[in-house]
Amino acid sequence: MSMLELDKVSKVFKSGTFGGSLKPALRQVSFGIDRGEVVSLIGESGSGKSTLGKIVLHLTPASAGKVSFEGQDVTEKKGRELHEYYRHVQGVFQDPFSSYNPLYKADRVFEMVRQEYFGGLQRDAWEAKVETVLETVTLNPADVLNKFPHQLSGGQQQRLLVARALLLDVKLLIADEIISMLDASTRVDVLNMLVSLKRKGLGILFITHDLSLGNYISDKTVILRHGAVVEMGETPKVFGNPQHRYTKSLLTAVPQLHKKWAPFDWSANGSAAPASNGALRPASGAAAPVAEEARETRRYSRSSLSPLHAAKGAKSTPSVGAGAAVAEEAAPGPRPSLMEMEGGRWHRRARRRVTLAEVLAESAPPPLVECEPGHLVAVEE
Amino acid sequence: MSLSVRNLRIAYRTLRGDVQAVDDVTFSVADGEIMGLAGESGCGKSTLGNSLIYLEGRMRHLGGTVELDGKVLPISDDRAMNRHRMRDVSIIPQYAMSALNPTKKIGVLARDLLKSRGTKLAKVLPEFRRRVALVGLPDSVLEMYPFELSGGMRQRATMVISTLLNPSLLIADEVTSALDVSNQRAVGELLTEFRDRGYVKSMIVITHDLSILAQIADTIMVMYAGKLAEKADAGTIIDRPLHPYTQALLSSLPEVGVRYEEEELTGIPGRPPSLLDPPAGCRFRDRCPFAFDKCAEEPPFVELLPGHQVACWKAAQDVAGSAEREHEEAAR
Amino acid sequence: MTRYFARKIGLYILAFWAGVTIDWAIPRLMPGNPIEAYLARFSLNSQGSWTALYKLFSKAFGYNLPLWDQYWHYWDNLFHGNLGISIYAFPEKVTTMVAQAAPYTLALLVPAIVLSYVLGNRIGAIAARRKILDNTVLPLGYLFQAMPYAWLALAAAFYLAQLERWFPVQGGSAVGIASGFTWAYIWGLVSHWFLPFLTVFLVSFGGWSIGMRNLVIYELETDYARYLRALGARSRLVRRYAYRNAVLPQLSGLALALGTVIGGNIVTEVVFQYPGLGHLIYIAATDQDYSLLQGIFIFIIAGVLVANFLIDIVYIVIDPRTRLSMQGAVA
Repeated sequence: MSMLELDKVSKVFKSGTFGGSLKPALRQVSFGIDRGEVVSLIGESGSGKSTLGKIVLHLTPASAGKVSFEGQDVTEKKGRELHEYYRHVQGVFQDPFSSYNPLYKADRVFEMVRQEYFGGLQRDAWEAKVETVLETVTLNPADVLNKFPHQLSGGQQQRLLVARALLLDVKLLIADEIISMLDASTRVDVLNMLVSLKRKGLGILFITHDLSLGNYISDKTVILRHGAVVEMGETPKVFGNPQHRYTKSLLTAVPQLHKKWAPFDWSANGSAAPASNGALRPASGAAAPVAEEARETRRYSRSSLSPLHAAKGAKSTPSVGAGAAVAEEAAPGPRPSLMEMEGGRWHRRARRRVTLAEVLAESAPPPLVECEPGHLVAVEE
Repeated sequence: MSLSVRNLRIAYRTLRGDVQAVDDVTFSVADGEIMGLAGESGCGKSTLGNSLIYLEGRMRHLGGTVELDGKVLPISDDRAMNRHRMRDVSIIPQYAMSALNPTKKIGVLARDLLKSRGTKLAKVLPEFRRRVALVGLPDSVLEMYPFELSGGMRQRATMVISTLLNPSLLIADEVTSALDVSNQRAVGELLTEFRDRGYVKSMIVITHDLSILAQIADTIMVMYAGKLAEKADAGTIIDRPLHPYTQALLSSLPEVGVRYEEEELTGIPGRPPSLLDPPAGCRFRDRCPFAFDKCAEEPPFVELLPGHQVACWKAAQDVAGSAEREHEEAAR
Repeated sequence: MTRYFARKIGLYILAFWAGVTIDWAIPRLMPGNPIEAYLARFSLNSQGSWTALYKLFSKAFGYNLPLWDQYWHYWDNLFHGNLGISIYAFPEKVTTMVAQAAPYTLALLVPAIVLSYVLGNRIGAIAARRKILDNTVLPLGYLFQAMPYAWLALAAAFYLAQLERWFPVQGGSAVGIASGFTWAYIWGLVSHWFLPFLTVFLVSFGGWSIGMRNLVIYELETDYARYLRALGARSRLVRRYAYRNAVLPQLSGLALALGTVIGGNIVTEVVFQYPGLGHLIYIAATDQDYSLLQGIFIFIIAGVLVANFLIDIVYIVIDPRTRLSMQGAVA
């Protein structure tokens, strides 16, 4: 039993004035994080990776499934129990600047922790504690204390937020894209700091869309797509021997310094056999690799189970265009479905109201199989 | 010679004073060349790119000239510049995903914009449709509003509109930064495709991501604190950088395959200097592990090796040293 | 589409029901009895005649019935176009009184609002890029906005009507001239109309132009405007786009302003003794004439709802983004 255990966690979003459409954002995700372990959760935008982080942090409830921390069910915690939970589980998010109130000095975030959790502590003891955590995150107290947020660099701000979490007896840190807004020269410092924290026994859920960052830091990797796990396992295995087409396609798209993008044939089934020519040879638009996204989308939309690959790269706008274009082509599913996907959202096809259980059942992910010890892959459809 | 920039200096006003974001910059881009412009945030790379097409209200042209295909670009004269915009020089802005008016259909927006540039939409419509298909958008986008498209699709629509009149120079400002890896690759490949097909003659790709440039750029120019640090062809910059800043930047990049257990990467300590009151001498001096007395003087941006320009005293010494050694060896 | 409108109309019906119910309930929940208040005016001496009259009026106004029945009767009457009888002007019908006052209010406020809207938007948009206007017209707008309206109206009435005698001081039409389609009568109407119109116009003009200026400045700074300029669009095109997008929020404001027109402008109509609906509300409120108040409020409720509904439709026509939510609702 791991320190944090996710058991078939699902999340369905309702949208529309009267909850007219339902969208499964997470589909039965299960994995665990141990003490001193970094697990990276990798996915593209819309994959549900941030939602998962929010569920662990109790910022949004799960629609189904169980989250347990040190053997205790977290999902039902509230009030005092939740207060205690936050003593051990903390989050840091993408945009450091928005975590601070620009009108107050940055170290006010520490003061808030003191009021909330260390009301009885003497001033001296508290200050010593602050200094210790600042050292842990490799910050010089003189550089960051008594300063306003805009006087600090992004890297300093992010490290200060991690330090805030460390003031508590934190055992698990949810790091949601915490370095994607930082400059290259400071990114590595934050990453290395996380490594040193992990060595001291902290468990870290490292949420990112950047495969190289995930690969650099994590012991285990979980690849998420459309809210479901497509591949997971020990990082060297997942990156060194990727099995799922999606993982392979992601890896070939990563830009590398000393290797040009390898050709990748998206249309072929099974393994990623190098195509004769991977460069753009667009006689017509449809033949261009850039249309691959669209084609890929179509392929998946045929199955009534897989959510559309719409709104890729978008923050929140539903992609009506893509949905409409695809809806025309989508062949009817193998069996009459209660729901249908359109414009990135599920809609009721049936006249009657569709229950949560039905949505969960219909959006159930393909099963995971073990391809080698410590390496699971989703069965491809 | 497609683009030639000489001693360009651009400042922009802030509440705390003028910031000289582009300081005495000289470079050129050849026909058919994709030049990557790299550096950290605040180094002036975006200001440099934008100044070649549109000086916003708070930006000021302090000096220097820009020539495109032998003609001087009147960059400080907004009206005179209009004639060149979109036809000679065009841009895919950093905010490409929100660059389209939300209440106008994409086709209507293109029509209005083209009319401003003295062209009828009907004249370019077949080509427009062909390019829309090339970037993987459905033909119906012309009839769609921007909010009906995903962010990635909007960005591609912007790419097509910006290059409709086959500009000589295209500035692509951080076009891959907000994208997921698979879209990053698609857009990167599209940029080279646009060049290969002659939609644009040459291109400046501004990004903080050196690994994208390693994929698509012919040459790479690195900026630091408003100054040029190094310029050479892409392979040279990636494999044999001479400037300590470029070296440090490259060694701080985690690549797929690099794990902390095997190879602990290091960042660059410190922060870039404030451009409100930049220090004299080499601006990287405070963060540079090789800094020595000479660095108190400003290093010139000179060609140390054929096609390889660097602004660094240390690099100059090294190159001179190895040349001497070679010379001695040859003499022996 | 159909479902979207069905849902919208459903919501409007719900809002109308809630509004009318509250309108009906308030006088009945308030302390004090309107009939007692009314009878007090007659200074009746005998207890017997007081009781008799009380019963008579209670029956006439239907206050003797159980509340539930009163509620049903109220709706029943409403659908028959019967809003009851005024207490203050007994036995005048509320509908007749509203019908007499409404033309004055509409003639006063609709032109004032529409004209100030059109001119305010134009001037505000120009002020967004012309320093001269920004430094002259706009401060005036702020001045009129910030000034207590009652004070402005009183000042206008005092200086322009009382002292200078350019305009009549009060009323809606000239006294002693028979109504009819004669020059004298129409001149009387216009001269009485002008001052209240001017004050309302000035104040709303200030509001519209300030709002528009800020909206246009915001729009001119947006990414799409920067993109257009970077690609060398004519400044006229950039302005046209910015204006059109900036007008959208203004339009909601116009809808609300037009919706509340039906209630009249109480301060204006009281200061100038202008016989519109606002004046009527004032009288009804001071005389505790609940049936009259209720009747006028129903007009206001209906007016606001209809105006909002119309603006919903206009929005769908001019702002494509709203169509997206409609599609969402269809599926």
